[in-house]
Amino acid sequence: MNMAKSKSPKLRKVKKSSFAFPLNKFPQQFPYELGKELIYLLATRGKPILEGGDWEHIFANCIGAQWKPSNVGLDDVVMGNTAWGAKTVKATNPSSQDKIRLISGRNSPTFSFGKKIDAGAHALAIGNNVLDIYNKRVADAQKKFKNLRTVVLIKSKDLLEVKVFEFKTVNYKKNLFKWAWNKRKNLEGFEKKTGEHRFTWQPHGSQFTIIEDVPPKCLVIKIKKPNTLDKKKALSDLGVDKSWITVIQKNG
Amino acid sequence: MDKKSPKLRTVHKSPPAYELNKFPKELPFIIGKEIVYLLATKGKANLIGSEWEEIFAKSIGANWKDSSNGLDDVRLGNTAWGAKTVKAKNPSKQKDVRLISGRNSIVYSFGAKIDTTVDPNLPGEQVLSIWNDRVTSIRERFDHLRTIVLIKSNDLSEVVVFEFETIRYDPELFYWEWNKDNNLVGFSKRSKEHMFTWQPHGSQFTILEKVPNNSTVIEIRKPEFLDKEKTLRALGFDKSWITVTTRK
Repeated sequence: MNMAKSKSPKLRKVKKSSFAFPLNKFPQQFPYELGKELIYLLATRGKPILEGGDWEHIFANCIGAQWKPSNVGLDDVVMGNTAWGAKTVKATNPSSQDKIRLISGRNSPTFSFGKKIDAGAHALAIGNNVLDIYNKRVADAQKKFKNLRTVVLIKSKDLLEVKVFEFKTVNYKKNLFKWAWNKRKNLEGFEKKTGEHRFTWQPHGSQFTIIEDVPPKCLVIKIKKPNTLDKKKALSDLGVDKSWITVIQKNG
Repeated sequence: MDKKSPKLRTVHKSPPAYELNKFPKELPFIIGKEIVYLLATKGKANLIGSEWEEIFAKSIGANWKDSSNGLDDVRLGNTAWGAKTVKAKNPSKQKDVRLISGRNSIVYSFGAKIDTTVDPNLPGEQVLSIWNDRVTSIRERFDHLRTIVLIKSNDLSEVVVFEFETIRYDPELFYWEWNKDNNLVGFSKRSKEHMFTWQPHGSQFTILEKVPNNSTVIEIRKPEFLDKEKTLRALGFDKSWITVTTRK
């Protein structure tokens, strides 16, 4: 069962931390747990809104991991020696989505390197700076966790269909990419070998986007839409009345 | 407030939904109940911006519509609100708040270069004029534009609610400096008070706002978590509601 067994060195007197599960081989109950969480969310909120923080929390719950929201967004969910960054993406039809754009932080060369931003500037130099910032974040997270992954939830607008997959969070070798400004003055990074578009970086806002292929074998979960929970009844079941709320008017 | 301001005859041709900070009587109880429900169902003390917009809209019987500029998410007749949340350890003691007020990118809006060695008043004025244009565009459609703020404690057991007029800022009244973190900081010329911060990286624009004395403090008793399994059962849930496939 332990995938890492053959490559892990033998250590004296150190309790080895547990290996989560092989990449994309989610625990058997995981899809049902996730389906349940989505149904509960729809029933209690009455609206198909699932934000990044919700997904981190739900994913952690479903695999029995800890939810530790971080600033960097690369290690929000932790289990033993594995940490996940959790991302959500909307799609009209999640099950047939082949590529996704993942917003992967604000990488600002102005802030990190004291550079001036100029859409006429050398694309490669700025692109390399942006990758340097991303790679540094990954390296910092790797100092703490042996396995670093990203878990992605592709969600339909009504949340009735979702697709889930993981990939290893890696750093990107700068010499494998070339960069060019597009006509909207955003910077785009391409794989030298295939010419494929892999990154976009916006000078205004510094938003860094990584384009990721959806792996061919993916978990797709469809759920039935629940009725919305009767809020009044739920609150009265909990014994909530006006005395639970104290109002003070600050005055001078 | 300003002794030098001329007295003007008040004209109420188009009165707002209600007087500023004179909230409808039921508002604190509706907000309180919504927060209790949120705590009971979510299992974590987390209230995000869009939830606050919706809760506030509900508490005044208004429409909620997610807007792109964040200044008019809630609408009631001739009045529009942008809704903001801020965390504080002790909301009722908080004297001022920093409100993240959009990304004002002078690179995008003016094609300007960012250079922390130039006269800070130049980018400062550009940042304010982006803000002002946003306010103007909404004030063209609404007679009254406000910002409604929720200061929330970490566990959501205490919140403070207040509102203020969302206004344009005359660039003439402010001066700007680069601080040691290379952020642009705007001060009032008259009082020397710190009023704005703008970060070149990320273009985030922050307005510092004083918490008024007559703001409303709401204390909330923490509910038990709703029993998820029981709730789902009551809704008739079973495994057949979930279909799992592996796409090949």
